[in-house]
Amino acid sequence: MIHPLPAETVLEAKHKARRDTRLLFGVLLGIYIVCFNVVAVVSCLFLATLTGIFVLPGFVKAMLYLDENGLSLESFLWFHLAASVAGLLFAFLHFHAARKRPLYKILRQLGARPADRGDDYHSRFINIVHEAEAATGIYPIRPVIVPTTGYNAFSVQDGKNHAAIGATEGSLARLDRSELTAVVAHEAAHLVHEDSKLATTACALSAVFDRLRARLSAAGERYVEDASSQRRTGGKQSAPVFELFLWCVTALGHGMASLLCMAISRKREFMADAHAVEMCKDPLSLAEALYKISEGYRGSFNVAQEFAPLFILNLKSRSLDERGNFVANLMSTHPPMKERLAKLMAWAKADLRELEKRSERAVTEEEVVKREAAPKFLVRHGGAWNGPFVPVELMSMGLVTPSTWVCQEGESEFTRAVENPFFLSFFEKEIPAPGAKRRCPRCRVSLVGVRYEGAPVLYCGYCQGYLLNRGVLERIIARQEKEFSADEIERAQVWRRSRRGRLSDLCEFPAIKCPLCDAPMDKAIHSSLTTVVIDQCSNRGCRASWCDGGELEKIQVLVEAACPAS
Amino acid sequence: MTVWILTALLLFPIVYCVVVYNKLVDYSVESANSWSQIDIQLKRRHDLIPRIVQTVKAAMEYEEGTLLELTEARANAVAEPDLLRRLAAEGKITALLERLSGVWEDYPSLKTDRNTWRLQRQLETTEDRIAYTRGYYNDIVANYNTLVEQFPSSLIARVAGFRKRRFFRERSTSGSGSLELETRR
Repeated sequence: MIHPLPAETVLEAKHKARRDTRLLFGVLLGIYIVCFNVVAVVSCLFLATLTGIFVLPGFVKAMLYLDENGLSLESFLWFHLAASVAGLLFAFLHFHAARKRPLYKILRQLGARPADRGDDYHSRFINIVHEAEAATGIYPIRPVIVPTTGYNAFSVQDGKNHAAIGATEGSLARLDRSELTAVVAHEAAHLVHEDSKLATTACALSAVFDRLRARLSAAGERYVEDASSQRRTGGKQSAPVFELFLWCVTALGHGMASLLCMAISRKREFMADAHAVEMCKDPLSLAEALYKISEGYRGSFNVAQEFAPLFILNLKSRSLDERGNFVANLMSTHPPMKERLAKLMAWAKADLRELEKRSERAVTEEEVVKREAAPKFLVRHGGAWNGPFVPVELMSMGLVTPSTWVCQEGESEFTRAVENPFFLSFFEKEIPAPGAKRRCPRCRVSLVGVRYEGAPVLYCGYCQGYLLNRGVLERIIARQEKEFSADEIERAQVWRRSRRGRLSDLCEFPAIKCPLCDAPMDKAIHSSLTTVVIDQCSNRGCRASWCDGGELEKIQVLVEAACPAS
Repeated sequence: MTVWILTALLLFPIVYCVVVYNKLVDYSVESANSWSQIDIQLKRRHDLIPRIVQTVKAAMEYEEGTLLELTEARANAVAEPDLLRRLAAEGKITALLERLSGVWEDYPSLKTDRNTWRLQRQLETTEDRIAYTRGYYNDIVANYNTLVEQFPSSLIARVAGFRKRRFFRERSTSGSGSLELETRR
């Protein structure tokens, strides 16, 4: 550049990204055509050796640069022109086939569902998507939701230009309106620049080689089988030198094309960031949203590689993405988070440290590496085993409390989360020193003193269990301050009707020790009216009662339903 | 061969002129656009002020004077069609809103009210956007001025009639913004 300019604004960033994309796309096309020409030459030579060059028809001879006088420049040019055209035609057909996939199929593959107008969070998202429609002029854009607790957002477009912008439930819940607006603007920018089409085109070019390579691999396997059978019968077979060479060329072509696809995708991310800032005029909110997404769990998606660039962040947190060196730049579909944030903060005229201060803490590369190296666990939640996920992901999904059963992937033993060293660190702050009183008998965290219908009780925030001193349970039952909905009453009554059998059959939880005096607690049925099994301290001087999560409420509901207040 | 070299030597200045001219036009259009964006964001703030006043009026009894001043400053700003002349009133609005944000935290009933919290967040976002559009305008002007002043692009700028533009500056003492915007040609 003859005139270096003092500020890199959104305008320059957009121009630069567009220039770089064009250049990379040109290089990708160049590599594709060169590789295809090499494949064509080798294939023709192979044909020549098979059939004998002298019996070849005239046009094949021409393809091998030969005419009556031997080698000719004209034949050379014609041959390569024909090979290039054939290559592009092949890529076009592949692209056309890839673009035929309709939007609803892509959305189904992503597990996306239409946003619900009746839901407040969804309704806010729908409004923001409508704003994006007005800003981009693309109409209609379907707002869709992926029901996962992770943070992520994406945009997709099919061959007929049907578009959709999606977000996960986690993003809707944890990003505020301005952050969500910035994220939707980023996704809308992808739609404006038709990145979905570009990604499909780039992938179609690289997939042509992949397909050829797969064919050659299959041919190679057949050759090995034939060779072994012929060896047994005593016959001979020539080595497939041509196939091997072609396999190498196609593998090289596929590798290089894939690298270029990723490079193009990285440039498009910068471009979408710049365009999003241009649309919403709020680089700080986009930076905050990116920061939050990079810090949290990003959701579980099963998507084809060609759609990975359309997510706002890589689907998996990888240490490689955060390194930002040459290899990382080559191998990832998204630019390093630090680089993106640095640009956004420069546009917002703010310091990157300010952002780190706003969020609780920054995710360092070491943390990402640690996260990757951590073993995966299955957790018991909602009556089923979920996972496997690493502990950090499980914690961010809110599936684990200290008393949740966890099982390491590939192992048969399961333990409580609080007893597992990989989860213990998350609860350490809340766990009192060994021997301390007033610990939850299930979760081992400190119990908190609260008031329940005016009576002092001890409460566990994780399992929602209550520890009641002698006489407190009776007091609570007598008071009818807390109101229950008709639905809660109905559920409790259905639950009561399902309760049959002896005490041992009705027990759902293992025996515990009293958090106050450490004496063993006995199982006791509260009354035949409720059949709720509670734990009562065997120490006559203590006689405290422990109600597991939901039990106290069930007792109240069933008693109140049996003798309603006048 | 000589013909090719001569053609290349002749073509280079033409291409350079075209590129620089287009860049100057780009920056000129973009600076006018970013200037109008400041206006749009200020209008957004004007729309927000009555809602804020209405919501906090009951709780902020001791800030009645500030709220009254804010309403007046907004009325003055809305009545003035010319952005350059409106900036004094806008500066006053900025200063009053800063004062209001400062005491906002002292009112527990406002801190816990979700509606007020939303309004406060909207106000913060609007102020951020105003700051961003002003900064962006200055960046664009900085790049434009560099092209207008640097040699040899200054020659093209002079011939085509592109003139230097002035930056948007905020006077920190009075809180009012000032800008002398020169139009092209």
